[in-house]
Amino acid sequence: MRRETFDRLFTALQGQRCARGPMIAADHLAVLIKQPLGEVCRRSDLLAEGLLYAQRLYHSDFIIVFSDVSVEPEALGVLLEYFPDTNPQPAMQLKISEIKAFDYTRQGRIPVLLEAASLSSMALPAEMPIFVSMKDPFSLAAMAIGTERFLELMITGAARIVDLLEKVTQCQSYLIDNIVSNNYIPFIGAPIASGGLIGRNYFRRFAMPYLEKLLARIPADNFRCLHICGEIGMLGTELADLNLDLLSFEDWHEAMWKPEQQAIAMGFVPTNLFMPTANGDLDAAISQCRKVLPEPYILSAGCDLPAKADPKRVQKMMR
Amino acid sequence: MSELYTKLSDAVVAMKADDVKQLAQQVLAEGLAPEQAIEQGLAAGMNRVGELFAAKEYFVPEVLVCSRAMYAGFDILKDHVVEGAINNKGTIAIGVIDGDFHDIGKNIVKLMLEAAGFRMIDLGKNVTLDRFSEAVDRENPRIIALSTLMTTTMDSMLEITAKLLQKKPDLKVIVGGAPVDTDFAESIGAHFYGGDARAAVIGAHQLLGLSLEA
Repeated sequence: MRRETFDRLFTALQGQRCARGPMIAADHLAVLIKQPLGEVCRRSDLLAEGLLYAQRLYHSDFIIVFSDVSVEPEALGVLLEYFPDTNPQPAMQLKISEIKAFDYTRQGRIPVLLEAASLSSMALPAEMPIFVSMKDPFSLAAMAIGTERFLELMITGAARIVDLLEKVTQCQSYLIDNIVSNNYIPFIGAPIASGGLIGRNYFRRFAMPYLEKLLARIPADNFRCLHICGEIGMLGTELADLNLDLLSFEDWHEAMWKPEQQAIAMGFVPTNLFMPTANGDLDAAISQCRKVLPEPYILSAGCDLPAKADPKRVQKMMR
Repeated sequence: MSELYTKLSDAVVAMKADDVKQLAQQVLAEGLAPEQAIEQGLAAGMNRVGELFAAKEYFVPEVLVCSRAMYAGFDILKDHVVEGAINNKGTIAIGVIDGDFHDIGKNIVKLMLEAAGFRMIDLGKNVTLDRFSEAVDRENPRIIALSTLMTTTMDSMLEITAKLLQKKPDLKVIVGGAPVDTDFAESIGAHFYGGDARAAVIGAHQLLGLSLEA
């Protein structure tokens, strides 16, 4: 059954056994199209223009519509400060009591993201997969109230955190429903729910149940995709239990890739190797990925490209 | 060593801020040296926390709660410390690079270094070259610690390292954060890559030729 799902994705990728595509946020797109980041991250036309430009430049097999990590926190009510050339940043985070479960897909810049996906889809071949980024409930909840406070409360006020996670999961349910109803693929990012940051036990208790709720909303003809940042070696069992179709990561451990893990692997070329000044061996890193990733796989950067990534280096990965 | 110091250390590791406060008050009531209670109790506890973190028995949530417990005791004891009585291994200025507002990693490294006996100058987040430079002039640190979570700031790391070393050639530079590694540290002329807070503590000692046990 799972194999059929993989094949559908790779059929969409024109039958290749290795697809390629970098994860690109608005900051690198802004550099590529020479527009202020402060505009690109707030305007769907510029975001789509950047995504399409990058797709042509890098010949990606798919696009991931992603602006920055603050899109959903802002939609929840976090006050952001915008800058011309750097990503927006939270000026004031929320109190737990201020967070409500509601359909927030018309709030903040979520419409910008969805509109950019729509504009991109109109310009791309019908068979090209379009992923739309969103966060897992754990990471979103942490960003909404402040990561340190959130992580401390897991120990000192777990009941409040559980209540918060339920609300945030409800909000994300509206978003994931919107994404799949438009035939986009939800690309769930988990920047805070990283093994190195919280370990296995907290992942099982506070991240995994809510991720499962979100994944359960994805219909069988769509794809269960997760990008997880940082160290994940200790989460092998949990990541296998999530029954993902695609797992994007930056940290490779042979042992993590358990036999029961059937997801397509995506990653894990180190992002710093795309910097113009990098002295690490990009070719070796790409070869290593090709060598260890089980087919079919998606060759990609381990996380989003640096804003000032050297396009020639990115193209090297795409060849 | 007083049994109270061991209890203080244990209470920090056990994340029991209320116990730490009570024990700190007891240290004062019994006329024990507050600086010894800080070094052999609170800081020793945080060192054990660092070891547990490095061994992946503790993770960031525990480190944060332990640090709250440590500071709960520190706030009670600090006003009673005789000036100069606490061993200072050197000054380190730490900050998150311009363009990045993620400071959880920096905060953890800072508290582990502080617990290890370094005087920490916390420059906060989104720190420009000018602010690092001013801190070098003002505080004369022996080490600058540059932290980032975002790939966007890696160019700035290169520039800041180069300019600060030009200004103060004997300065040591530690870099850390998700997108960087040893190769990157070497490529920008930094002296040490701290993969986690414990590694940063070890690195700071190595760079200054200090023993971890001191």
